[in-house]
Amino acid sequence: MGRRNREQNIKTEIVNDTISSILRKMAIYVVIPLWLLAVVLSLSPFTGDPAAPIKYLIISVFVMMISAITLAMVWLGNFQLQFKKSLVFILSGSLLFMSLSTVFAKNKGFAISELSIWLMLFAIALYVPILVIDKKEMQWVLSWVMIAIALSSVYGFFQRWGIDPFPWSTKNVEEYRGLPSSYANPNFAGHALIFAVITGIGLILTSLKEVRNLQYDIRSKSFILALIKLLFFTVCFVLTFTHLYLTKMRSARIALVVAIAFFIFYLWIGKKWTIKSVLTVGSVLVFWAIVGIIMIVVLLAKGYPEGSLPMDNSLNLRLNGYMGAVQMIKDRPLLGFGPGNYRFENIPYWTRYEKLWFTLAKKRNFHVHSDPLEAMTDTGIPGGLFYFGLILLGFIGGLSFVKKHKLFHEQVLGISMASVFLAFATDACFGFNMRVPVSSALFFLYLGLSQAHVEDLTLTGKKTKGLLVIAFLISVLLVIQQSRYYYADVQLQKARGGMYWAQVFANQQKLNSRELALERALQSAESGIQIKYFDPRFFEITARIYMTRNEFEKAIENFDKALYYDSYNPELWTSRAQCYLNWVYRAQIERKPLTQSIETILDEAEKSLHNAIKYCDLYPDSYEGMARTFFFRTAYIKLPEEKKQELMKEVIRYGEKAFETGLQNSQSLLQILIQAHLAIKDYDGCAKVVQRALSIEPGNIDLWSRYAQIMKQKGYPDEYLSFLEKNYAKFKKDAKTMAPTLSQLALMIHQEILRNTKDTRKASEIILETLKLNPNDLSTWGTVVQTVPREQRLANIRKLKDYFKDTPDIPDFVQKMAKEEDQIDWLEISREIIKNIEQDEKQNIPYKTIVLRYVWIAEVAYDENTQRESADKADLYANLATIYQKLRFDDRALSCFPFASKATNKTTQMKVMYTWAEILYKKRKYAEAEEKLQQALQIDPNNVQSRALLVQTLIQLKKIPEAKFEYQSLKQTLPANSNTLKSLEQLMMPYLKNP
Amino acid sequence: MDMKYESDVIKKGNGEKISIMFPPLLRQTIIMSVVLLFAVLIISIVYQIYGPSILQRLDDNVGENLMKFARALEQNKNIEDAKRIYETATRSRFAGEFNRTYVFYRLGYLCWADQEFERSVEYLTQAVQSENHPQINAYEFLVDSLLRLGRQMEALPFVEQWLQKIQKREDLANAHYYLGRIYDLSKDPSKAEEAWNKGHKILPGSKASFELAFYYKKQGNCKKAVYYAEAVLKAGLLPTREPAIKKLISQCNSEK
Repeated sequence: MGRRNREQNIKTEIVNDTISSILRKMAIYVVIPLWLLAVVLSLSPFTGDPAAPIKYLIISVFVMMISAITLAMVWLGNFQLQFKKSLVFILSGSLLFMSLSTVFAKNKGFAISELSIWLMLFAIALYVPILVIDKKEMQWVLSWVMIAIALSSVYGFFQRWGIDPFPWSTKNVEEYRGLPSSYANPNFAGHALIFAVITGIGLILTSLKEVRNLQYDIRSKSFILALIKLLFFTVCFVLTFTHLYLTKMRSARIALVVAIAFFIFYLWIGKKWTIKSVLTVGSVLVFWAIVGIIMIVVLLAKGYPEGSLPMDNSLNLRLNGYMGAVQMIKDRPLLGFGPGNYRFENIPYWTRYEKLWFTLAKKRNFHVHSDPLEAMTDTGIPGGLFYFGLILLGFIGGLSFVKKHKLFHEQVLGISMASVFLAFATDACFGFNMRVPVSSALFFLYLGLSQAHVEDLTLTGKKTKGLLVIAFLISVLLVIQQSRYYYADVQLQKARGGMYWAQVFANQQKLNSRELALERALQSAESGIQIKYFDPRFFEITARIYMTRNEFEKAIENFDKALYYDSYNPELWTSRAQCYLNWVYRAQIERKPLTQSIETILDEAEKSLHNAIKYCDLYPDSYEGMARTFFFRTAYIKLPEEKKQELMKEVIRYGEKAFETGLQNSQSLLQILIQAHLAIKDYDGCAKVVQRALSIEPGNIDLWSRYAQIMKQKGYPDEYLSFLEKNYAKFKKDAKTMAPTLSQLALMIHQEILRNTKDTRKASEIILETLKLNPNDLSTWGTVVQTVPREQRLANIRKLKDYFKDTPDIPDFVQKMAKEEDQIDWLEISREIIKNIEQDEKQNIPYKTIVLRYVWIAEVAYDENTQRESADKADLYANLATIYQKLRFDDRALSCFPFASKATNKTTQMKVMYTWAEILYKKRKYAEAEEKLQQALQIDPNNVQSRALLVQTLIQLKKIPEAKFEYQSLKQTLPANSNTLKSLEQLMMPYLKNP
Repeated sequence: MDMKYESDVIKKGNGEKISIMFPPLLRQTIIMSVVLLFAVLIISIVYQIYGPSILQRLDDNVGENLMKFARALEQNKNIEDAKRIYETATRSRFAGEFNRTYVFYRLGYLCWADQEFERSVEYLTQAVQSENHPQINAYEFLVDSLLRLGRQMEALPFVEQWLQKIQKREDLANAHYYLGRIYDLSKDPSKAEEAWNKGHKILPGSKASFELAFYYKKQGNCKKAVYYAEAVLKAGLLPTREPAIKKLISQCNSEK
């Protein structure tokens, strides 16, 4: 019985060994190669640069798989689990300080998300030496590193040649313009490529040795196989090396030189030394390096070498960034600011150059661009110690492979691994290699491999199974977490895409599509927030969507949340202020009530802008916002004249500062500055601003008429006429396209000559000259007609028409008005004007041009028909009122209504009454507006437009019960989702709550 | 948790304890990490003391940095941003005067290419107004901008300055072409002819020859017109203008 049991046990043991061996080999020969290909080559189309979320998701899946395999090996097989003590110590020390700094981080959510990434990476380093135990297996894994990276280089070359198998939506981004690859950034590619290049050297050397050993039997299969291997690795090496060269990364090149020098030294000389001796020599070199660096720093600070320092932008940014990082370490030496929190906490430490960079490029550093410094800003000085620990563990682990008595390929394997760590450490001094998915994953893979054969104490536990189950469960949770993060990032991209399309649709006047795009973008952003509640980018995009939809309160709420996590961001502070300002402006334009007082809103805007300026005093947008805030105070708050003057001076101060710091061509700010200068009666300053605005937009008729007003205030200085004539001469060369501006200038010159000489004939010369240049342009005809007394205008048109009888393309309106008096169909003309104005508006023709084109025709029609009696007179004046209303000539429109109200047609009557009431409402004549609206509703009691306006009018008249009654009756007739009802509901809100 | 330690090398007494607690690999790693950490901390302290002076020096040539940044943008055809950065650079400090005038030259040139002649005149004037480092290449665009604005009299002194500083034959011919144009626009055809003739002599087939061909055609002197037109065709310096020249020759031939 006992013997049978023993036999049974031996049999089970063999089966278990076989199971664990199969599982282990599956991990090495299937899982690891597939993971390497996936993590290096994956580029999710939905995420931006870098493609980090998809890569981290792949890493998490890999960690789950290797933890499951290890668990199965222990559970089902006979596998004796052993952990290397040094590795466990360094990894747990790192993790401990990261966890502690996470507890004290300001943005804990973000720190936790970073911590989980470190957890995955540490797991790779921990599991790999358990799975990979054979040197051949190590070479196999390293070969796949080489293959995956070489493939990504091939992809990068295809992109460079313009043949992109996975085309990007835009090629006009920095990442694409460099040497793109599947890393989406040439720098990120460089960090990974140094692994491949150094490993490649090792693999080529071992293959070469193999070929040389087999050269006496060149017909054998082994020789051919070795030759193929050699060729294959050489091709991979050439690809990755060329790719690295083309990335133009200086730090990677330095790292490569250092690593290759070390490789050569150690292969020939160093391997005879003990590790202790190598480290001692290394320490001496470090000492001399410190002395050298200190000398260089001091000499540079003392002004040597004389002259300018040949630093380019990236070096300059790094040196500035390091200063901030050093100060951050000084401020929090023990635990740092928490993993990943550098991006949020660094802004107050910006130097002047970093501020300038932010202003110019709207960019900021999310990383220190020096791994040792970032390790310390994240987790304090102890974090820095463990950062070096990780690198040195790999370096010494690699060196310990190399023994004198060992085979050549084993020595090369160890040296190439040690060299990889040396190159990584060198490159990481100027980059953030450990924070880029591919290079960090490879680092921890190599770290694990370096520990596979190291002579070290091993830890084995009795409760290994339990531990592994917990580790597996954590890895499952990490997969879930990374999937959710990936999903959130996809949502963020969708939201950004939605904003892009909303802008496109707005330009194309497809307002329904725009609304739909914004709605979907909002849904995406909000579902992203549910997952990444700690990431300010989600709140920011949500705020911007709400802002685009004019839902300002919700936008501000989201800006506040974004600022909770990213408290120093000048752009966020400025956008928040802009949101407040847009809210006030919109409410004033639409006459909507505000839920807070204007003072409070403007105070908030000012506070935001103060913060923006505090954190970046070179940011022009915040100065522009400040100028707008002060301007709004003068416009929307009742203030004594003296205070207004004071504020206007502030407007000018901040406005000038905005231009000084590089604000480009902001016509709206220039308009504000013009008004501010006018308010303080600084006409010289005002003239300069107008001239500046005109240099940006010389065709702007509004600006030209403003210029005329200022010159009037300045008493028409001598240079005025010459300035006008100079510009007239300039525009004459482009007479056809500049026709409206030219006619405006002609009118101004005409008036100036008339004022100077009182010679009508001489003054009219320029007008006639302009008409000769553009006889087919309506605005030019308008200018001519305006210079003639009202009663002579029609006759003058006829005269001019005769003068230009041989000229083709005289405007239709002119031809129609030049007929005999009884043949002119004024009603038809008025209808056509309305139609043309609507068309011009659709084509975004500037308002002032539209006025110049049509107002003169309306004027002639008005003057000619006042005394005449005809059947269609009422209809004509109704149309004229519509024209004047469209052209914003409200007083003129009001003068048409007495004639128009005599219309017999009910539709016309209705339209007249409503338009009349609308203008009266606009002019704050609420009682009269109510009267007209009551009359309109008597004509058509079901007219929704009139009733809605009546509700608004009654609210203004404080006739709340009547307003409520009208609102209720509207509510019964309109669908619940009606926009009219929604805006009325907003208006009625305070009264509905408090009956 | 119960942990069992296994060691490859077993030692007795205190040595064994230390070896178990800190195996050689860990000891070496920690010692070297401390060394490197100290190195970084020492450098950080030194940088904190002396760094501000270095950054100040870098700030003094911020103009050069912006210039390089703008040039990279220009090379990538991102002209709008390039102009914006150049403009900021014009307000920045430069270590070298040549770079300062170069920034004005590039900005002026980009404005010229965008047909913003007022602005181009403004910047290009700055580019040439330097005692030691005027941008010779800027003269052509400056003069051209002034001519396009109809300010030929203002252009004249710049052409004269340009003529004094030119070193290349091509530029000298070009300057004479512009000189001729100034005179032509100022209604002084004989001086224009004289200037273009000089230009033609310096570089036959250049723009000056082209102008002369049309000048003589206008005068009705087809023989001379064809002579200069053929010089243009022979030199092949103005490929875009060849169709016009060929048309002129055929017109002159048909007149014969």
